Amino acid sequence: MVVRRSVAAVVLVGLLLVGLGAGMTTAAPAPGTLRVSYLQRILSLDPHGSAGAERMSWIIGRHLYNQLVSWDYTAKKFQPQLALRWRNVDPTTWEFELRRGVKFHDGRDFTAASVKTSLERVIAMKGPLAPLFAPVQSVEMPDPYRVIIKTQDPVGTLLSSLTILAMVPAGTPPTPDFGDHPIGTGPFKFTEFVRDARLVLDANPNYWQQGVPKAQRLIFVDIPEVAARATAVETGEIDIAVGLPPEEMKRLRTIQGVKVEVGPTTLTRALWINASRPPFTDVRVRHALQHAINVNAITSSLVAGIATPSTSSIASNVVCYAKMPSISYDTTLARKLLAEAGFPRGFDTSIKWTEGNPKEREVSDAIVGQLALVGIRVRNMQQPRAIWLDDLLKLNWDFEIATTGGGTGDPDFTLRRLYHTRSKRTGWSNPEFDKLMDDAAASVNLQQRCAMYKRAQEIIWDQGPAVFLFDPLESYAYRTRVQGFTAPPAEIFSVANAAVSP
Amino acid sequence: MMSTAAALPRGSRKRTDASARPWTHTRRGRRLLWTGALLAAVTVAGLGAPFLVPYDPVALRLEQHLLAPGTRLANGQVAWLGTDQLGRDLAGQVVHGARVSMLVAASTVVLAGASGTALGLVAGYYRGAADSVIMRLADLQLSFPALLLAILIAAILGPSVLNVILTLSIIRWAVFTRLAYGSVLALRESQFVEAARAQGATHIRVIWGHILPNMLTPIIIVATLQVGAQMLAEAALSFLGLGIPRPLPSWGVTISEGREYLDNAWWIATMPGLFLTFVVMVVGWFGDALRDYLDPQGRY
Amino acid sequence: MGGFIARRLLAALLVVWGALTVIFLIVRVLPGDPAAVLLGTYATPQLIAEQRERLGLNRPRAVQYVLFMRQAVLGDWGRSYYEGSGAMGLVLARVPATTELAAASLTLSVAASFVLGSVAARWAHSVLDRLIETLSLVAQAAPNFWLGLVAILIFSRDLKWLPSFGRGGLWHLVLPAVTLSMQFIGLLTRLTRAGILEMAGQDFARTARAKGLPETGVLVRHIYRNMLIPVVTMIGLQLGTLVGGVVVTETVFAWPGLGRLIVTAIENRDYPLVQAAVVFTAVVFVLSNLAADVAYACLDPRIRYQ
Repeated sequence: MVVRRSVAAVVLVGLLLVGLGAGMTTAAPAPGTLRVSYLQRILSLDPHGSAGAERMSWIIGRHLYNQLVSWDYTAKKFQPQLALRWRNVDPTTWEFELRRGVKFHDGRDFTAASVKTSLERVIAMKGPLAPLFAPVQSVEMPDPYRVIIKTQDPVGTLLSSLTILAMVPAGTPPTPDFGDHPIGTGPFKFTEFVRDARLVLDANPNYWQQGVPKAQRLIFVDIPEVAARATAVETGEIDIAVGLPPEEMKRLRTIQGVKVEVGPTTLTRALWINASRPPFTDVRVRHALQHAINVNAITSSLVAGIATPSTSSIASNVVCYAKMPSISYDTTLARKLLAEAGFPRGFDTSIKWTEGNPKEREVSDAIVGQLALVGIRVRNMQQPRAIWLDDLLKLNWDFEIATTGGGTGDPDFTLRRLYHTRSKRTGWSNPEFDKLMDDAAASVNLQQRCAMYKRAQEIIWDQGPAVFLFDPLESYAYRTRVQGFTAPPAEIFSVANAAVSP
Repeated sequence: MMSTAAALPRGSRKRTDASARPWTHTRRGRRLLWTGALLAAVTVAGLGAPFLVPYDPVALRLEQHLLAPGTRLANGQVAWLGTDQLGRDLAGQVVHGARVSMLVAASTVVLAGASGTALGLVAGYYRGAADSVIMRLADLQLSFPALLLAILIAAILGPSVLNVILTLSIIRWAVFTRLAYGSVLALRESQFVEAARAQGATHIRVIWGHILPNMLTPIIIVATLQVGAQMLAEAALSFLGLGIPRPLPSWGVTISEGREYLDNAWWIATMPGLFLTFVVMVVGWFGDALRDYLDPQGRY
Repeated sequence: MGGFIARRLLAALLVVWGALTVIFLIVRVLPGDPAAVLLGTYATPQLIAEQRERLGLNRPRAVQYVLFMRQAVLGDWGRSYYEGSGAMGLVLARVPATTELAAASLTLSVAASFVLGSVAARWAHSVLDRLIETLSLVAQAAPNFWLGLVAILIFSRDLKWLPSFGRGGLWHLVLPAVTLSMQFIGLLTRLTRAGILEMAGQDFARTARAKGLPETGVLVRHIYRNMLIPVVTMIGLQLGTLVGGVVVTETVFAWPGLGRLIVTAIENRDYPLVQAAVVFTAVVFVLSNLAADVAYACLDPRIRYQ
């Protein structure tokens, strides 16, 4: 039995070797090809499906697709994309005038029907983006280049939600098949996708914006190991590497032919505290934790140069951000607060996290080490993603390391979605906060909303459902042959303006 | 090792060797002796050194992280193997990791060896349905990628030292089963087994007294070879995020987590790697010497 | 002969059915909800319920099993939860990459260990023999991923000889194949050496020597032929280990193979994909066994079909 099996295996191998000789090809980078490696793998190219809220999907969305509007992080206002102008007819009615002459990659015209399909499709796909557009009641098309979106109640976040809604051709059915041959209006069109290896996009010659894209071909390369990704940009096998740790950045800075840069993100890394579980129901314990964690030490050593200490519950890049007073690192005060809460000798607890963000493991170890100094004994539990999610959603945890923010760049995306009592995410509940969130979401006046979000940030900072650690920066290392690329103002980047010299 | 002279159907050559001179005077005997002594020394060091070298996994010194080997720390001590990404002394981590790694490897080999051998014995001795079921299972097990099986089992069991031991035992039992099965098939037809049966010995007595002692040699040899494989499997589990849970230090964990720093702080992954390689080599040497001594024809 | 093949086919079908059933149960015992993993941190109870409905996970297990088996009989392995493509298509798309890697490293290990083992046996107990023994122990003792990353740093980054990642030309294959084969070379070298030494002590070798054949001639003309079967047997036994190593090597070298596919499918609780991958593995295993049995039966008249 065993002998026979082995012989079979050897024969099989021989046959495969013959096939192997036939399959050999050598791939040299063609001129004008830009190769980019990001830290997330591509799950799906469908912008509305289950992967629709992944950072990688949004990055691809900037190249393959267009959105109606975009948020300008520098000017702090919305800019036209496929929508030229928009206005509130009344608080529940939005009118958009669309850009004319825009064509999809397959030659079809972009019209109001595409907008209607895209909106209806994202809701029908029941993916993570669906709740953002759930308040949409109807989409009307008075003429092919005019869209009227009606919502049940006033929705202050509609424009910011539209910045991440990719426009797909009219009539696209709500099935994930679309992701196999995606069609958009973006600067690059789909050519080939080899899962876990590369996504090849070619320049869209009919792009509506003059002179864009600059590169002829764009390849997203998947390199899971971070050391290998850094090596690939050093050897010139890729042109841009994103998401490198500080040690690699420090080293690559000294390499000739490689430039490194960091750019801001809309993200915040936080230690979530389950305020529905004792002893964390006591605000004094939560305050003790705020004073027991040395945020500056963590930021300056583990994530040096790729993060700044948090100054609020949202990143400074997010709309309506307000700077909060700094919290002192004071173990004596922390011990005193713990004693007042009835834990002079500390207590036992645990922290849960999963791999996914840079330095998650080191940060968790640092938190465990620092809390040990005030007598809190933390069991450090790394979990496989599926189990971690299960525990996270069921509130079956004491501490969590959470990376919040991103998305639409709107504070609602972080604050209401995660800290509202209804969201059942952190176990924390505050009626005043909830009311502020509901009111802000229902207002279409940005100034009014910001006033409410400012108060909300104060409540979170003071009540401590989390210890906010740092705002990560995104790190980019790129070859000097890449021209016209600079670190973008948020983590969702586009290389449509980057050119490559041979 | 061998219980009775009569139970040595194929040991005749060796026995004349051994009876002519004390075993320590033969070349093979001497080699067995010094490799055994080395293995004992490594074991004692691995189990005992943690009592001498202090290491606290939660005592971090973030300001002195990623220091090269030989750097003098703020407290005057020298970090001979450098410090890790959290500023902990790597020497302490490696010394304490030795105990976990060696215990895991040894206990999984013992567990897989004992259960695998028992199953092989049952299959080979009783034949019939037990044979079919056990040996087909073993075939399946051997054909299925061990690491993938480990991923599934580890995911079901959850993270703990005991579960890592269980997982690594489950992926190795079939090797021993197949080995034991082959030996038993040959032995059960042998004259001394038939003689024992004719005298009315019970099955248990035959297995325990006559078959088991005669099939131990190859099993012990293969077991020593498996120790190294298990240490590597523990490292591979850590690589996949399913290894020994924190805060326990183990070589697998340290190597796997240090790999992200290979570019800049090579020592984190390399130092425990060197120790692991050394221990695997010592066990391998001992295994070879044991094989040469017990089984001069080199059948296994 | 026809009856023999029919019986073997039936048995093979039984094994595949067994593998199907076992993996169906195992993936459902794994803790974690596929719908939650699909939605990630954006999941809400309502979205999870809707996704579970869409994926058919709300039906009783028994109903799911019957549906699964019925579709399997029709050759439909379902669709991956993450994309529109059929699960089996995704698996088959990965097969060339993994076989390329496994075949290359198997060839490399067999060739290298054959030479090293022969040299070690020919000059047994010499310094050369001890050196080879030590090296093969080291090769067996170095973790795959460590070896792979160090190889990338040395041969790609510093020497710039070889590409550091991905699948492409022959050069892309070198580092992953060498990394994957190291452990195997270590083991096989030792086995080859032991095999040759065992054969060298046997009667036919002594006779050949008595006839005045030089030692190398004995080795080439008599010993190799006789030790092939046990060594090939051992290679077969170790194939599972080799394939296990593929998972790690594929990750380190960004190689788009089956190993990574299965690992991510398990992590994502992508039931159809895991099922399709395991069924594929089982079918390949069973078919190659069957082919070997038939070939043996044809070649060796002494084997009876029972």
